[in-house]
Amino acid sequence: METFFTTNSWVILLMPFLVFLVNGLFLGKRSWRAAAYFAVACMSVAFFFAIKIAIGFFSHVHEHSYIKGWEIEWLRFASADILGFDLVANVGMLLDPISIMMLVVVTAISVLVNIYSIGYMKEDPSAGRFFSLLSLFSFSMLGLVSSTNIFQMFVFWELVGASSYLLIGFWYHKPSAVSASKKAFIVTRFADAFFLAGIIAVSYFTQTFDFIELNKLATVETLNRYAFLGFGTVNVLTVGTLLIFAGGWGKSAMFPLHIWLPDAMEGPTPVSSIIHSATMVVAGIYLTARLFPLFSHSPLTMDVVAYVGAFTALFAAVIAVTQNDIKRILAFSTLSQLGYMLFSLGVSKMVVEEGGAINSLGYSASMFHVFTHAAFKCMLFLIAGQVIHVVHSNNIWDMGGLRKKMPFTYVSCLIACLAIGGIWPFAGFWSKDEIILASLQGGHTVIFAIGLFVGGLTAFYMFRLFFVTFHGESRKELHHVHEDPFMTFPIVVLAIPSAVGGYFAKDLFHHAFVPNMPLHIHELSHPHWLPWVATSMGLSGIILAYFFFGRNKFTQASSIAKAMGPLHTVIENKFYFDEFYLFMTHKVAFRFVAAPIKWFDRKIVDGVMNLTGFLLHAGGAIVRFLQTGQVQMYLSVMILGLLYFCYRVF
Amino acid sequence: MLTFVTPDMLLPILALLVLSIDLFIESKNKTAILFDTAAAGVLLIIVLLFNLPHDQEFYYLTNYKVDGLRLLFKEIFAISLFFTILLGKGYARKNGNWRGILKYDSEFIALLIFCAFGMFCVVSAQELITLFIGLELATIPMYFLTAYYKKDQSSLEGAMKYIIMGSLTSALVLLGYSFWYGAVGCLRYEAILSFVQTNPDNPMFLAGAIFVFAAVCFKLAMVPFHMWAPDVYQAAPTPVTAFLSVASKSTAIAFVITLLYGPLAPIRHVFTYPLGILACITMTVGNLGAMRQYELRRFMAYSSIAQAGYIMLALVGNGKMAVPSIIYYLFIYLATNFCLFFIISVIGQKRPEEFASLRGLAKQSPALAGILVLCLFSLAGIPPLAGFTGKFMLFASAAEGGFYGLVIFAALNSTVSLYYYLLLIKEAYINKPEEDLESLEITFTQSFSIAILTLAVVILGLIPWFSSIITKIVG
Amino acid sequence: MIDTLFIILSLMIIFFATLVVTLPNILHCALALMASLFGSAGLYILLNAEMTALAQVAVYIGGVVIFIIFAIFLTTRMGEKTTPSSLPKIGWGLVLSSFAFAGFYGFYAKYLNSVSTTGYSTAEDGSMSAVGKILLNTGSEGLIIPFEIVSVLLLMTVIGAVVIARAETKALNCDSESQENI
Repeated sequence: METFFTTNSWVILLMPFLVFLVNGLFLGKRSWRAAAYFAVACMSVAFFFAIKIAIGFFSHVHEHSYIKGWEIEWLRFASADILGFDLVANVGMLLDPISIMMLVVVTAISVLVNIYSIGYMKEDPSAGRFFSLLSLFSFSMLGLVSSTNIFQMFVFWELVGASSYLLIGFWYHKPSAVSASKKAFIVTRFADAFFLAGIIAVSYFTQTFDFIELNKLATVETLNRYAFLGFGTVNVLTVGTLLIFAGGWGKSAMFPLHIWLPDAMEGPTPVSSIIHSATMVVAGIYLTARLFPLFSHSPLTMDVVAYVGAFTALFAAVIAVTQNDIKRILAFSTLSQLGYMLFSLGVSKMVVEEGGAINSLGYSASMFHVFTHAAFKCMLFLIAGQVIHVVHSNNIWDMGGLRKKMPFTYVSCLIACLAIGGIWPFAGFWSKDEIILASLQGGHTVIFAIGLFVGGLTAFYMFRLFFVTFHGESRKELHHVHEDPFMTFPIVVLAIPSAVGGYFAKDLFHHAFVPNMPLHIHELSHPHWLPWVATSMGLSGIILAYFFFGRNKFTQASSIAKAMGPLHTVIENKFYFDEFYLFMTHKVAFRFVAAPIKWFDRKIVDGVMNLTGFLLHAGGAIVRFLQTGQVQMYLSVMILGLLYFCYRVF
Repeated sequence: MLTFVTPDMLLPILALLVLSIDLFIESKNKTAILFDTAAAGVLLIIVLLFNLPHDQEFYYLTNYKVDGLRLLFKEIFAISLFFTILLGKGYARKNGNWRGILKYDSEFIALLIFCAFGMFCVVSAQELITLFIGLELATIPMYFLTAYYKKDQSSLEGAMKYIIMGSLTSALVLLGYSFWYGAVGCLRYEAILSFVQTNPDNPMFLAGAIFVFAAVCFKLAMVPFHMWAPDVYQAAPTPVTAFLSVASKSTAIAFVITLLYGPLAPIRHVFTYPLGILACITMTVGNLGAMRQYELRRFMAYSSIAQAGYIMLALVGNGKMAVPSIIYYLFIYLATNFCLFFIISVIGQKRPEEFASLRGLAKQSPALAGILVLCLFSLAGIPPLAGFTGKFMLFASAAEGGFYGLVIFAALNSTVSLYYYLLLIKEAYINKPEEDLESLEITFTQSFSIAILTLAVVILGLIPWFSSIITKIVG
Repeated sequence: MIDTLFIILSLMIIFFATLVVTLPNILHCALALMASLFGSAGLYILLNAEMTALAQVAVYIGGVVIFIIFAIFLTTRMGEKTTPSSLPKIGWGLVLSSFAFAGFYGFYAKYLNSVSTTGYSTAEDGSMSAVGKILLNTGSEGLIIPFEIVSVLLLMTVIGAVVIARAETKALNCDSESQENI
């Protein structure tokens, strides 16, 4: 249904861009406060438009599956009348369930993060620049999610990369921030090289960039053939989709390209919050969902999507257990949750015994999780920023005892942790439950098991963070602890969707978020024991975390011992048991399972990247070494070149 | 009909005009007069070129062809000449550059204009003699211009290397031509074309072609014929380096295209693949070499070696998109490179043209630093800047022939290039200058040129009609 | 007869060319160059290209080599020796040139030995009048355009040579300080 808001959906893109220009050129230097208010106002307008579009669309969701808000021809690379084939890139806005959902989420989070930043950045001398760049980032992400075609998406995709480079390296006087931003930029661009090749391959065979066209069955038939692609004769559909997915692989920081994401924590916390909740890292998931009908016809691609996602979910969760930096815990948690979203898409393709068809539940569950995760992860980062602001340290062991001093933050954090831990009835429960259900229905038993286990693990490490940060005694002298209203407001607002968003949105996601393609229509089994099992996994994670970190055992123990002399030995014995238990789980499990994985991540995965860098530098050294300055040498090399030509031609 | 060759004829006249102004006019600011006259003249020529009909073919004295493709190339040459003159103006004034003042202004301008005239001849030639003489006319002035800092030993050394290797190249071209003449018995393109159509695998002709392509690879600085480039780029005055990296390279590309899509069209497939492989090696070596450089002109040499690799990759697909995509990219490459060289010229006024001199640029002139970032991002192919759309077309053209492996390789290469372009940004923004910096002076000419070129870098990739017009003309 | 002459002349060219790059005294090198160029002039005569032969003698031997000798007289002291090439360099040179030779010979043996050389060239003769007519012909076979461009090339070369060779006068050298701190 075309409405005023859909035809003028360009306003959503215009607003952040306007903020970027105005703040970057004029307001930023004069008054950062004016810049901030301007940004909040403009982003609110964008949010308003997004909400209006969403209401209009979802209330008539059965009439159409998409609307093109507007579309114009942009670059005509080749036209049929001259070169014999068409290659035209358009620019426009595609409004369909997933893009509208993302528009709402991104604009909402932009507004909140902008508000939060007013408090967070108030002592930073270059806050004006911050508000300008943050809007550029929002603009890129909004453009990415509303792209009508893959070329436009790639443009915004890279723009997201470039603006994240500027934001992560915002504090460029810190060398670690600079190298982190460079790493993020280069690693994601490495993946984008494959993405670009994939776009070129697919668009050459189909002569279109348009998502709607690409997702048609006819396109699949065009692509599903064997052709020479430079490195051998391969199936174009498989290779093309895998290449495109490689872009998402890097952007969503799936193993082993996840190396950039934990380092990206060097940016200001509002930046981490916006990057990790609803923007940059979700782009890969979004790309996979956007081209889902195309991807789903390649079994290999779907398997890669599922297993890469599941592995990352497990891997990152295990590492998160070992981290002590609050932002790094959240970063690995993000990776793990992204793994959930990704494998949920992958398991939509049921294994052959189950019919091999597409189960729309996996798709809608993935999008649902994108939505709920955006709320609670954004919130968690904002909380982390709040806490860091007070404690002036990222280490959770420097915190503790903040429960009384920061009541709002404490309650919000509890809600967020319950949500991410998948406890009924918080938001994360509904989406995670659906994801696990989808993998069970699809017959992916291994992934199902991983999903359940990681659910427990998630609850464990999140409550580890929660207990260590807020409970116990404060481990550091803190002066004038207070909760900045600008920073608290967004946290409290986000607590609402984190708490109840899942319950209210689940039906909408179920009905409206289905891939635009033929689907499995049979009723699939829906075991009633599953929610109970999932919740109990989460609860046992929480209990375990409480057992290790929640009780203030040493202080408690000594006071009890003083009070009850005769029972002292018993208590002490219990302590032996306690220590033994701690030894078995904490020391053995941590040291021999989690720590080696962490080591593998730091040394091997990062090592490969460093090795690549080293090899490139060595190559550079060779090139410079050969450049001797001797003309004789230059001429000899030229003769070699001549011989090469002779060899090739004859 | 003579209007088609008017721009070509005006070029030597303009050169003579500049020389005679120098002879007959006495004035305090003669330098400015000379450069302004030359720039105005070249601007006139550019306007003339753009106003010629691009959809017609015209033969002057049967052996000098003007059509849309050739006009586009001439526009590239003329525009680079225009900016080189403007760039040179900054170097000819007092305190214009750390290396010293450029003297003999009128001769400097005249040599550049003659050089551009040679380039015009290369694209319009319809027989091998004009092609050869045009190529020499486009090369020999560069020898002189490279040695323009006569007191600088390294400048002379670079020029010497250039002359020796350039002469070998000329010899190779002539050897190739004589093989061709031996095989065909005629020097005209038409005769060569009909000969190649009937004898596509004549060994003598192919042997000649090998020599010719080796020479072209030298001009393009393709690996392994590239080794002169870093030394010469470093030795030459910066305006000359800019002209070398843009116009000379475009001439070599024009040379390849006019041959491969002219007389050698029937045997094009024999050469495109070897050239494509060389292109991949070239971009790799260029990218590797550019890491850990500290001299800006040398860095630009490696960077443009890599860029030449990307450009030549487009030919490998052998497709219809190859020529439009290359020309499209050349325009973008021109804008980006000249913009960078103007920035180098600004910071090179009181400091050596080195990486370390960029330090503190973000503090001193945020606008200039921002433009630097834009240009480098464009060279690295970050959308939506022009460099990205250009590269996309080049890669798409290579993919047309099914060489996706090479496309992935090239795309990965541009990731590597991002690494060292970021190093420059790091110098400008992050590294602290060691001592207090003298303030930067930007002349009107410089700020004017930088403004126009920046606009081009941003807009050429965004405006929709630019690529379609080029496709329409040369498709 | 012609074959014998060709072989004699070729050997002469190669012999003297080798001397050019190996003799220790640079003046002797120049003289050997002259002899080598005479050999190629002889080849042109064998090929009926009298115009080219004449140009070879007049321009190269009469002009270029004489210039070279002047330059030698002006820049070196008599009896000064060039630095001899080091052994590894000679070795590399031998390797590369044998590669090149093998390439050329292989190409010749494989393709050109069996190809008859008649019927390739259509130009009747290389006499001076024929060359002159072609150079000033505006028709399709004419080379009037390159002939005109050559004049620009020559002018450019003269200008460039003058700029490079010209001594730095006081008037031009007004800010030599900035030059000196390079």
